[in-house]
Amino acid sequence: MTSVSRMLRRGIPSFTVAMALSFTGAAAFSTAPTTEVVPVVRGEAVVALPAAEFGHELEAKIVLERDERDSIAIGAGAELRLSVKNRFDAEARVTYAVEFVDEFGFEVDRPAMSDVFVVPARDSAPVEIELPPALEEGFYLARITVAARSGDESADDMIEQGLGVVDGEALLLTDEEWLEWSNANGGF
Amino acid sequence: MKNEAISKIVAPTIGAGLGAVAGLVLFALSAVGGAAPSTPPAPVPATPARPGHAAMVPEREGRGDQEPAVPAPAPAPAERAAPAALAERGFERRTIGASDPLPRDEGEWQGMLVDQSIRAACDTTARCGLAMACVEGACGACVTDDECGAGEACVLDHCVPERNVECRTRHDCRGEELCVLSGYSDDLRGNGSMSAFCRPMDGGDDAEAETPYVAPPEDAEFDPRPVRVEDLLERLDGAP
Amino acid sequence: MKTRTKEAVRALLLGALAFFTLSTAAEAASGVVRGRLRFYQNQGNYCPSSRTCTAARYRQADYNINSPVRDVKVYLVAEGGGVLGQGTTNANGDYQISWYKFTWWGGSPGRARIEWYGEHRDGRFALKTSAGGRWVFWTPYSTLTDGTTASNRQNLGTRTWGSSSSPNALANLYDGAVRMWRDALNSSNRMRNSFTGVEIRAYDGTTCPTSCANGANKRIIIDSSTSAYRPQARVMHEMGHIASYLSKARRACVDYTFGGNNGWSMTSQEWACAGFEEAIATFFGDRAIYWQASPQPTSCLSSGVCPNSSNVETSTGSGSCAAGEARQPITAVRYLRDLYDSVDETNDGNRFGYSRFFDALARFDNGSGNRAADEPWNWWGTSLDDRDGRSARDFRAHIEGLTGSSTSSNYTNNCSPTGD
Repeated sequence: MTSVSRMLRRGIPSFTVAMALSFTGAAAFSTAPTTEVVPVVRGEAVVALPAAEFGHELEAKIVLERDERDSIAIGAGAELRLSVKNRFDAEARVTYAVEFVDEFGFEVDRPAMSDVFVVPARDSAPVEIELPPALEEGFYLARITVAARSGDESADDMIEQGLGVVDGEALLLTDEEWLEWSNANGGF
Repeated sequence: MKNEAISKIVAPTIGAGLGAVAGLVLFALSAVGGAAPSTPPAPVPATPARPGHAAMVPEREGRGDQEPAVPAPAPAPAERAAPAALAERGFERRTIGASDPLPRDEGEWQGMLVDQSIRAACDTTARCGLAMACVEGACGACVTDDECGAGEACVLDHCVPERNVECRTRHDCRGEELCVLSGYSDDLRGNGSMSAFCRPMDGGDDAEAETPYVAPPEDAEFDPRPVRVEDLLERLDGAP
Repeated sequence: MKTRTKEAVRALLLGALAFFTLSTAAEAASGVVRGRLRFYQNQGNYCPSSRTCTAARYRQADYNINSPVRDVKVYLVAEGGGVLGQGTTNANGDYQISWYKFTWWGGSPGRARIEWYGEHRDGRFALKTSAGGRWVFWTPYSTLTDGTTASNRQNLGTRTWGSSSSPNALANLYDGAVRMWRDALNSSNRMRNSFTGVEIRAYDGTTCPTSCANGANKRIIIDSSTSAYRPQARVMHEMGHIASYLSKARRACVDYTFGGNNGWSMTSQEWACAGFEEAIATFFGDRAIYWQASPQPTSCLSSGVCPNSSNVETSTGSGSCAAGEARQPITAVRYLRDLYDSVDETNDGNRFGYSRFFDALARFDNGSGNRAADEPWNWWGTSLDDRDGRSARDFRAHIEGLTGSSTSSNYTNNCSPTGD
């Protein structure tokens, strides 16, 4: 056996092991952040956020929850059905105000304020907003602002509910749809 | 006879035809008028008069905080009926597509990337705002100094006054410093006071006294909202 | 000349005449326009006149007035499409644009309007739709006047977005981001070098029910139009998260479940990593409204005025801390605020410049060891193994290392925020 072949017989296995070790070590020592999704328990549901996400932000202690329907038939008795949720640990005294404007900001109806009412701790109450009866085709915005006091603490929330009225129906728009379709983003 | 007819009819026709083609080309150019974003023609509303101040809510008489997380919201519906219904009625969307920033070497400063999706029409570089160069009839990023105006240099895709150029790339700077642009200025070209310089990572402007608060102009009229959170809280305080 | 040749020459001359006639009919129009853009200011969290607003950058006098749309890119867009010119607004909302357009038969240049898309003039950030497209803020069309010049500009007037009866939430959101840049982040060289091309997507309440930020993607998601009126706890706070990430890239603290509660509030008890992360983002954002000499900086989630109880300058004081107060994010916020402010300097002699806080974050080493950027995570980055790591205590070590100053008094006077 030549000296070269002897060297190869010894060298190749050693080289192979060395390379395998170095690759393994490089992989182990890698510190690049992963995009591992780590489940986080939030309330009754698990919300998964990527590891690079920051987002468990503050939530108000009084929250208005939207009407989940897609549309409402226009006419007598037509109303938005929202709810107000009290997240204080004690009962809260609550009041809200309602404004109706068109897509150019003109009032459709006078702003109105509700009576003060009480919502028990960690409980909800319905908020029913009657729509103006004779809305012509076009775009409108119902803005509902709520405020609450519980002991020494206070909180507030607001919903801007866009409406697209077509064929006697008020389509309930998302915040994006309101901006996409109406003239709300016009400067005058 | 036949040759004369050809001479009298065909030749002038060819000549006029060439002229017509040239005219059509120029007409087409004028109709285009420069690269445009995909903004659909929007319905033109009549300019409304400003809404008058809303009537005060009766009983205007006289406070926000945080909360641990709450249940995850209900998932959004798979399809929304509203967009289809509105499109059917002829309403138009008022958004445009994403911007298209011109990439720059990763090692360089990533600020003020030039948006290639919007290019204004131009005849000369002097006409272009945002420190752009006029290239093939449209304002856009420069590549060479020649594309910029007299006395300007092309740095980080922008035309910068030569007198204000300290660097062109980070390799002209030391250590961790980056070659950066100071930002657009208010003149028509957008580069009158623009400079290219090396900026370190550490430090900054911490001398707050040098930047005092500026009150709004006196003619800025206070126009209160008809509904304010403070009004609602006062109502809560006043009610039994 | 032979007849045939004459005919050919005549034809060519006729053609040339036609050519030049048609070509001179295609002309160009150009000019300069100017104008002003404003919006109705309805963001909460201003310093009310009932308080001492020394060093406050956003005050009651700024609220519910027509304010300038500042520092935005603007475009002159022809009716039917085509961008004719571009420029930016200044701090007063004023712009001027040089424009150019081909016309035909010497006709008028037609009508055009101003559009803006919520893009910061220097590319610091830009508003986007939830899908990454751009919102169009537009004006009515105006007839352009050909031949105007820089010294004789055509005035397109003042245009305002929103009113007292109907504020424009998106314009308010844009302004909140501008304020955060101008009055906070722009003080730091690290942010001037790094805070570029940040997307602010509005609105998406499904992906992020209360808004969120992704540092690696430089993306903020704002959940709803309501959040546009609560700048401190939303857009400014989220920009603070991006800023802290850009100072030092690292994995997020994803566990907010300390003590069984979920998410966080200023007074909830949290793992030290989560508490500090929220505190630093809050501190960064609060500075957009309250500078060093502010005696009563407040911080809250509200579209109105923050209550007095949300004051982040006051401290419970060493020895008077309530049980669990060390784990409350407000404790870490107060510690950070004390390092920065120039108020109540008894036993609190530090007054670090705002830019130092970003530089202190940059001193966290890579890795998952003590005082390192990924300390809460295991070596492989697959799970959390030290939820009290990368805390206010770790930050304290780095800012003391940077400044050479002890912050022991600031730390203990503010109930010693938890950390190992």
